[in-house]
Amino acid sequence: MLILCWLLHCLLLLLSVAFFTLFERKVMGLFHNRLGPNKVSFIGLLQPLLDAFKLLSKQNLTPLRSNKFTYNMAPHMALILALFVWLTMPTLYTMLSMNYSLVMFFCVSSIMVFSVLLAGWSSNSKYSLIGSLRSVAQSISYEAVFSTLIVLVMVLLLSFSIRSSFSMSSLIFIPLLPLWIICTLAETHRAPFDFSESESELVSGFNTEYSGAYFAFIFLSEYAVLLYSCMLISMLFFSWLIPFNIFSYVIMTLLFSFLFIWIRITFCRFRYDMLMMTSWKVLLPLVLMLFVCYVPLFI
Amino acid sequence: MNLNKLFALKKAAPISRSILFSNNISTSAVSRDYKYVGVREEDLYSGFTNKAVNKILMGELMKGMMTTLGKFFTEPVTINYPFEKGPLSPRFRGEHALRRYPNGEERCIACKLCEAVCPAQAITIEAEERADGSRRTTRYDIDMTKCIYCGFCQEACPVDAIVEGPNFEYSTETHEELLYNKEKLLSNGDRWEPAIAANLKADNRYR
Amino acid sequence: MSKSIQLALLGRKAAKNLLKSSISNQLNSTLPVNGVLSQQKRWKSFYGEPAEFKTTEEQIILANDETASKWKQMPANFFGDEKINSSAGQNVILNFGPQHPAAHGVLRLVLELDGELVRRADPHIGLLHRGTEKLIEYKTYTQALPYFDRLDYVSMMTNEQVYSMAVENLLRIEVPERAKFIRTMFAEITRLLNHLMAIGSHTLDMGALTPYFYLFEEREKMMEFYERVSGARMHAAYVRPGGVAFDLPIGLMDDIYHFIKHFGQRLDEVDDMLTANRIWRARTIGIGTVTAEDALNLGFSGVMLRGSGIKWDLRKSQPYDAYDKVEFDVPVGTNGDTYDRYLVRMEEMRQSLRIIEQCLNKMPTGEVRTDDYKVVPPRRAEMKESMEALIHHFKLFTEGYQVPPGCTYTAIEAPKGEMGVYLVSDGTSRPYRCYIRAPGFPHLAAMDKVSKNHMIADIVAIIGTMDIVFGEIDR
Repeated sequence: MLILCWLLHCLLLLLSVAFFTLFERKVMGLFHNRLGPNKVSFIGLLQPLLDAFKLLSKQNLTPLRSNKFTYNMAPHMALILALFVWLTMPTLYTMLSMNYSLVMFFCVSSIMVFSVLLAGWSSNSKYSLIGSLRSVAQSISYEAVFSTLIVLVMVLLLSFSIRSSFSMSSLIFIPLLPLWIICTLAETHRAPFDFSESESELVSGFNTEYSGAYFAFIFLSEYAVLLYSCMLISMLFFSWLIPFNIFSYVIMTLLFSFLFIWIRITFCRFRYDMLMMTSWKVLLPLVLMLFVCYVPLFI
Repeated sequence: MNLNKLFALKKAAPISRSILFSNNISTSAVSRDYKYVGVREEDLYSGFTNKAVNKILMGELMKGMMTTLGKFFTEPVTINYPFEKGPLSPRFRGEHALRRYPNGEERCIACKLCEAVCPAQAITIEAEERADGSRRTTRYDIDMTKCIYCGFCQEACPVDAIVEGPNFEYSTETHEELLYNKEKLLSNGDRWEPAIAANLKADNRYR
Repeated sequence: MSKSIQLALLGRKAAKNLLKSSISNQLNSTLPVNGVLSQQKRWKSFYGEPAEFKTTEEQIILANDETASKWKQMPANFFGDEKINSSAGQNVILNFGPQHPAAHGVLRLVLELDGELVRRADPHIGLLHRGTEKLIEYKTYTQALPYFDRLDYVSMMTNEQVYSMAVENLLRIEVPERAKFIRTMFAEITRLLNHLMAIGSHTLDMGALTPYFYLFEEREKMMEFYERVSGARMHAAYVRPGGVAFDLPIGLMDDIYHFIKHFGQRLDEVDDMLTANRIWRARTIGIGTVTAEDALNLGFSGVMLRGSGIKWDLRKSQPYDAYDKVEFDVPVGTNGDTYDRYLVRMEEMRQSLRIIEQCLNKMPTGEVRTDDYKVVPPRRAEMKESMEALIHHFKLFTEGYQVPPGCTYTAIEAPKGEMGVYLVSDGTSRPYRCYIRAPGFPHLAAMDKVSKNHMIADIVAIIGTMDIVFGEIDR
């Protein structure tokens, strides 16, 4: 039963990720004054499924002189970790009632960078290597800020669980929201911080050499984490809306995924050293300052 | 705001340059005609408070985001291609066609002007006298893969026989299919004659 | 077997690796053989043993000891400016392009990276070489014209314009006033086309996806103007020696007016999204700075020169066509960096709008081609009625026109810079020599100087700001 539950969970998650990519393409299209995918079935609804079918039916290519074991392992690792992150989501059919879900989220999302590192390193391409190195450096500097934020949240909740944020008290987190969003953008490698796969600089960054199913795995894992981040924001920061509207949690998730797409299409990419600079010199002092301000106030 | 700037500039009109100075290298530029851009200090937000508020509230980033959001709610400009097509002018230079006179006689008299003027040498013509004594082509080939669609052939043609018609959808799967011969060109002409004739008529006064 | 033979046997790539990885003096005789064998083993394990490529010594000796001893050995630091220290490792050589999303066509940059810093950028060109200059020597003056469209394929009509002006200079003919205004107007529309492409693709390279789409929508409209006036959306073949091919169709000027009336708003949108944006400023200010002195020494022109603060615009300093009859300002940058060049481009577009508006208002009536039937073919109606006109028509479309002997260097301010044609005529109907001065070429040649010690992300920005188009660089 537990396994079935878990499988169903994964299946629904992957399906929602697939449609999330369609959502992104559609929204981006509308932002660009174009239509986005609209040919496959009704207004392009089947597009993500066909994309997945195409990717999965393609031959898996392994680059010459790549480290084959690591090369093949990295996408699997990325996907499994992404699904793992979702375990911490408090849902109706979740089989694990986790008391340490915030900690677990943080740990798993930190490990996720290894899949990027391994993918980039093992594919024997300079673009991939640079992309993965960038991503590691970016993750390290951002996790300093992000972990402080999470610790702050945990201190304020007096709990390690996401579930305990379901109260009106989550209103007090709202001032942390901008910082949290910036950290999430950096954590999920989204534009304007998408250095690890910056298209116009490193052809496709760490997944340059990946194709077919493995590319699909990496892609799915990225979007799964992004979707999780949107969910997490709506849970941590907007759970006080739930008494007003039971669907507020879904609506906020959608709004935040819209916001991420909006940010992606509006801004140009940071440079990798600038990001590190902002992270250490601006955001870390800021979050520490917040910490100092918040803790005496609310404890 | 910038439109206003533009009109303001228009009013302060500098003296127009005399024709005397044209094509004269030693003419030095009048500094009034040059304007500096990119003076960094002169920014959109002046004063410390404004700058600080803008920096913290991310004013200019929000402005950019609002610009894109505004575009989100405008109608997409996409032309749904196979079903909708963009407008074409009568001068459009598309697929070639050989035309006929209304009585069915082919126009081309094998003067070979198009062959001579073609910059890409895409046209090959062979001609001999027909049984009724008129001079007609026995071979009229256009290599559409060589053609650069400059329109010189239709300009050269004294009898309006070869024209570049309004058709631009003639892609093929093989190279060989794009080596047009006389039959293909004539059938093109037959198929597109109404459009071609209308275009020629519309553009007649400019040619 | 001597060292040098072994080196020769290794093939270019393996020899290169070898020379780089070890100081030449320490090169002992066993090392290269081991190196190459181990490499071959790996290939063998992948591809299996090929029958005809046995790596026995007899088969791979290509030169005897005597010949080989005369060959010069490459110095160890042949591929880098600095001495290679084997203990410190070597810089990564990154092959940027020719199939790179930011390569603007077929640019191949060989980057030497120190971390992410670019120590050396070596542009390789020639992947789009079509031999235009040589081809033109075998074409009549009329036939050569369409080739100019294909040089800088984002600013088509200015290329035609410079060629037409060169031929007119040799022929010593004057163009009717209306033709001059039409040329000026379309040159400015072309400038808009080019700058939209430049800024759009620049922002796209920098990661901002959206301005590109907004600008390309406008570009599409201008392509339509091209199509209406010439019959082709890009390769117009519209500006001809002696004027322009056809008169403007009725209604086109109204539509152009409506277009420029609204175009400023599009520029404002881009302004809103980029000019003050802190990310854009951080990415462009101080990137690819060219001092005024360097810009002059490196042969820059156009925006690359004016961005550095040099007041030089051929439209002002030696006005051609109708530029002496319209009023406009030439934007000049202050700091010579990418941001300034972006601002210069934006301002140039606004000034182009001014010029187009003035051209529309001042557009004189009259002919658009000179009435010299020895150069310009007669009108069709006349050709069909008058025998003399028909003879002229036939002469012009077969033999072309003879151009008196002489040579000219004619240059205009193309959107990218000084586009020049050096045309030598020997009195026949074909040019003896046609040299094309493409503005992009000196810009790209300075790639190494401009981009030294920048990061990879800045390389992309610099390629964008140089506005490189390979049609004109490779010719």
